[in-house]
Amino acid sequence: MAIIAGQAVRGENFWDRPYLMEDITDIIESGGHILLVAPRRVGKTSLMYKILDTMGEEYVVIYINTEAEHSVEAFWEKLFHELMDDEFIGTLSNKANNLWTKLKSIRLSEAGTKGIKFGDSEPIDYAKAFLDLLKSVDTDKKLIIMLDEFSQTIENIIQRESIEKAEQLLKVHREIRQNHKVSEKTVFIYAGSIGLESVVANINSSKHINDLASIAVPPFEAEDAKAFAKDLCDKNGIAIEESDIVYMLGKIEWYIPFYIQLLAQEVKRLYRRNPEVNESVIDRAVENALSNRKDFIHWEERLNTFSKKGRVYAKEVLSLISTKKSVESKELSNLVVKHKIKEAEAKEIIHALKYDGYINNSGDARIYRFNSPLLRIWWYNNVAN
Amino acid sequence: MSQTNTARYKYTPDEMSQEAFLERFVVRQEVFEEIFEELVEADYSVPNQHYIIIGQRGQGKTTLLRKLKIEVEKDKKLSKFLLPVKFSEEQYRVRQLCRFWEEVADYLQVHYEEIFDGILEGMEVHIDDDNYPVKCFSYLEKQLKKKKKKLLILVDNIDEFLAKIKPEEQHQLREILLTSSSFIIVGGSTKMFEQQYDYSKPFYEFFKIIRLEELSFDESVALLRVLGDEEQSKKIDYIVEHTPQRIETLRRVTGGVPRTMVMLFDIFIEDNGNAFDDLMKILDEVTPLYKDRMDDLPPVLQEIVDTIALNWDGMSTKEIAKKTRMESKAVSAQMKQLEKYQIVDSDAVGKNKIYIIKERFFNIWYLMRFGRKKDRTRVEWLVKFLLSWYSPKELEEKAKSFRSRLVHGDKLDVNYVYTMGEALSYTGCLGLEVEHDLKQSMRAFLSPTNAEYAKHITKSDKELIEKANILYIKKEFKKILTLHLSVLKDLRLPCVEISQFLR
Repeated sequence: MAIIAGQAVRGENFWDRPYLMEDITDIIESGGHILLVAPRRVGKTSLMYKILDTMGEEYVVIYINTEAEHSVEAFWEKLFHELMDDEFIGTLSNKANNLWTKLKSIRLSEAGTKGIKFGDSEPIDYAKAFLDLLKSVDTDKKLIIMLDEFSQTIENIIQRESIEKAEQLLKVHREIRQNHKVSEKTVFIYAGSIGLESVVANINSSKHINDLASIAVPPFEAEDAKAFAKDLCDKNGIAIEESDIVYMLGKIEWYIPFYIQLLAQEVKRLYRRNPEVNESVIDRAVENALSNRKDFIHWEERLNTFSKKGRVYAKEVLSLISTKKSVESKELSNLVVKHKIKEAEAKEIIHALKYDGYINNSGDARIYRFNSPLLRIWWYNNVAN
Repeated sequence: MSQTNTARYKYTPDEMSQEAFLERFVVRQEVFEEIFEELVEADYSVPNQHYIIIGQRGQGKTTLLRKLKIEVEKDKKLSKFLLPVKFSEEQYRVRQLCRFWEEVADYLQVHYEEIFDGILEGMEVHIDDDNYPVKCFSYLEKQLKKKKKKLLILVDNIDEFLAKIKPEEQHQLREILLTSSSFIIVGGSTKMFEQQYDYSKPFYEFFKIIRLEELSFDESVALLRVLGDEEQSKKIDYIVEHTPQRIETLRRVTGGVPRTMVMLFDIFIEDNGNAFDDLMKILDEVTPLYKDRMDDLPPVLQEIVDTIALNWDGMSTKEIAKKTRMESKAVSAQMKQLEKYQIVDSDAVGKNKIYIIKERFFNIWYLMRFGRKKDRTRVEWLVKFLLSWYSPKELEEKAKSFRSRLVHGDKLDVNYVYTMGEALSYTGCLGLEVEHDLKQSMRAFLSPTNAEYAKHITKSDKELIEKANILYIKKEFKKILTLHLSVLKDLRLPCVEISQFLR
């Protein structure tokens, strides 16, 4: 298992949690569509890859990243082309013959090198072509279409085209999901670096996604975290005692694999120079990870966009969370009273802190914590104290 | 080989012969191994981790990139499918993502002609298409898959490239990096950049960051040992055995940056000023870059940087506040900014923080460009090096031999004569006569060739004393006081001592 700190992980580098996959399968089997929810760096894309790599026997799975698409048209074109991709079609011949035949026949009707044409010279309506394809194909297996960075695409369209166009795209997606002919054969899984719920709420379009089943990508349970850290150390030649693993995890507290990897990476660097792990080595590893992040001051400065009162409130919220590691929402309400700030403004600030990546309450709506354990430690050392 | 080439050869790793380069690759082994091991063990059927090596100028980024390239080419297993593509250090032309892929294609065409002949032309067939930037990469990837090759793309100053491309291109690139298994990027950057630490940017915490730290004492010794010939290595061994603190001081005052260390070390080892001349050339080369860095700062930060840079040893917030006539609180806030921009570094001394210019080479550049002539600050960096490297006795010997070369009319660089002469004098270790003779010889040497420099040579202690004596005889005590104050100011004694003297 390699120490991967940034890229989405694949294959043996993904730490399997069978219960998570079972949750997803349940929704798929019951005909639901899924929205994966989690802050950045938690592992949404890795989870999608896991689905792609392991559910291929029972389903036809396709992963599509639409982060770069900035218009509705480009979005549909991308979807269509991904379905027409040689490699994807190649995977179908043995397991989903009907879909394979259908896609092959469309591929053969393609003419010219500059865009796909169907007999006439009119440019193709990719949205329609995509929908027609989903409706007409008699798949042998359920098709799972995973749309990564869909929320970014919506944001791109809002910025580059218009709110109306973005809303229209959301509406069409809902219609597709509610079309029985499509829905019984196709499942959509959406995810994105920025929260789809927030992007959609900003344009008052929440109603277009409220049929989706949200799955919060959870952190590891303590036992999983221990086993993962142990395995990571073993496979990287680091001899480490269980008590030191517990100590290391204590530093992280919120067990997101990315942060365990980050710390393991620093431990490995120290280990390379002196093959020994103890609590002081782990402390140094944390220090080194933090010294790479002197720019964390950027997080403090960003609060300047709030009003003066709001800024003071936001700072205290973050300082409280950094001290206690996790805080219940009622404690935050106490701060609202203390700072004599309007309830609505406080709510907005908490929302902004979530949206901007400081904190989350994705595991339990009542519990807030920092997204990044490193930022939490930095905040505790540099702002709270 | 001309002098310029010697400088380039020494300080620009890409221009060294491969053999010499590998022989001299003695530091940063662990960093190299970290990346190389991961390249060996990576699963190339899926998208892989991308890296960015962060270190200030001269810290060894380009060296590491070259080492990776050579070792991948030498590795039996990797070389079969993994092709290094190394971008030149300055890619001013690459302002668009499609241009980036074109550069890759161009490189492949030139360096792997037998495999990728005509790939750039093939790519450019699509140049008039609406979505050329997307097609550009798809075409490249198709060719790579067809030839069953993967790329190791090595890009120096990748932060500049990422900052130059438009936001939508950044999203495009991230989409490719997340989904394509055709290449691994290893970039170099002088600083941590916004794209990596800003949550709202596409590349938030996306690259694996490898920071090049300052060299340790042992690494410094290893580096200095391989620099010169056998005789020089013996000299280093002697220093390590008898006066190891010299190397430690050299390490500390250069911030442990290998290139600065090598450059200044050369200045001590050589006596003819060639190394100094090389230093000047390199300072000239970095001028536009450093000038931009200063110009990018708001005026108030420029003033603070100026103040700190003119104080080589660093300053406390209080001292900066006094010098810039700002409130301490306001200075503190600005210092946070400067730390964020990675222009200054701080060290805690008790409850106070002492700020210094982080990149010592930038500080040298600043002093040489903006330090006032006839002012100790201009040559302070060299004074510190001389004091760290030589014993007082050796300094006097050095001054004598330096003078005799002036007297014999050796061919010496004028800037070198001025700077070295002034620095030797400021060490305060020369006898009265030795220092006086040195200054006289400097004047004689510089006057015919460079009157400007000659004019700026400071008075010798002997001259000052003689002047004071004359004033004393004339009973012009006020003038003596002024003279004394100017000497004290030059030595930069704390103001409090001057005020005591006035009482």
